[in-house]
Amino acid sequence: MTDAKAEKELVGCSVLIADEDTYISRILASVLAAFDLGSVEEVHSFEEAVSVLRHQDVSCLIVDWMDDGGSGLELVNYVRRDENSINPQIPIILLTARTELSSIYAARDHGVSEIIAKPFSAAEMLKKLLAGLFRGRPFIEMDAYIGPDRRRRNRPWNGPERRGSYGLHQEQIDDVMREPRSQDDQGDAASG
Amino acid sequence: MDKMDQILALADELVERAEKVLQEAKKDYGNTLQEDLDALDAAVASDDREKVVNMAYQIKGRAGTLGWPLVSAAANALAKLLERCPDMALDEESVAVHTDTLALLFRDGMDGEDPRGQPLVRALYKIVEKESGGEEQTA
Repeated sequence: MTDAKAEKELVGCSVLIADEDTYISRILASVLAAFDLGSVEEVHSFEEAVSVLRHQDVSCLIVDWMDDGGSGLELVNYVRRDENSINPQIPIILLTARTELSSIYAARDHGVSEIIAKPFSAAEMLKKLLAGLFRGRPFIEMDAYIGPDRRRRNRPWNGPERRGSYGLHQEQIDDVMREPRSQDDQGDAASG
Repeated sequence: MDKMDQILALADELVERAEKVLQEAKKDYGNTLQEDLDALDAAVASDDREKVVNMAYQIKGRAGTLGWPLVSAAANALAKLLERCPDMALDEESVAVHTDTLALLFRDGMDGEDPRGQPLVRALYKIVEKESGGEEQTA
């Protein structure tokens, strides 16, 4: 594929950013625009996000953890599980400053595809965006879990006792995202 | 080579473009950081614990992305202090040390990995460990 054709792949993609933080959301939109995506749209509430997702063809959703209650995860839950969700298998990238292990587990178990720790870099953003768009994993649909299949590992597992207690670094988060789930994942995997 | 690899072959150019966007944003962030720190102080003064934690996380994300990693780390320390010590009042000295350090880091322009700020931030994490009864760890 030539460079021009490769870029064309991104031109066809539309990304929706759902983040209450309008300041960082605007900057993120500018960063994504530099990747020559087809379209980048920002929303700042759960309700706005649901409205866009119902009426537009979105290639990838980038969602912030949002407030203390984690309403970003409510949005993930809506996309993955609500009967009115029109694209439950859409790649979802969670952007969060709350990187303690419990939050990462919660996000993973809600079915996010990738997690980016704040603060973020342009390189990490591109890497995770491409992984979400072009390297999607088989989709699992079970009572206990709906989301991308976690059953693969990229590197040796260090165990929770080796993880930072002030929040995980990006590489540690990536480990958690690839950690095989327990018996929950032993069921049927839908093609996705 | 799949699509991701093909596009990653272009990554340097794409990332370079995006980093320029971030560099521009960094130039304008100073005023916003001052506003964020003022909002944090106001939340402490009004004894709004949830807002203080949310503001601390907001500053962590914004400051770290926009060239102030020590401010980001200090804000993270404040969030962890309040999460680990749920009974700690916002007017206690340990909280004030965090907000004062954040103000100092900003006032003295300690962006990047300024060596003047690193011991200050390490001291905050020691406070968190002491107050929460945990073992001392490197932040």
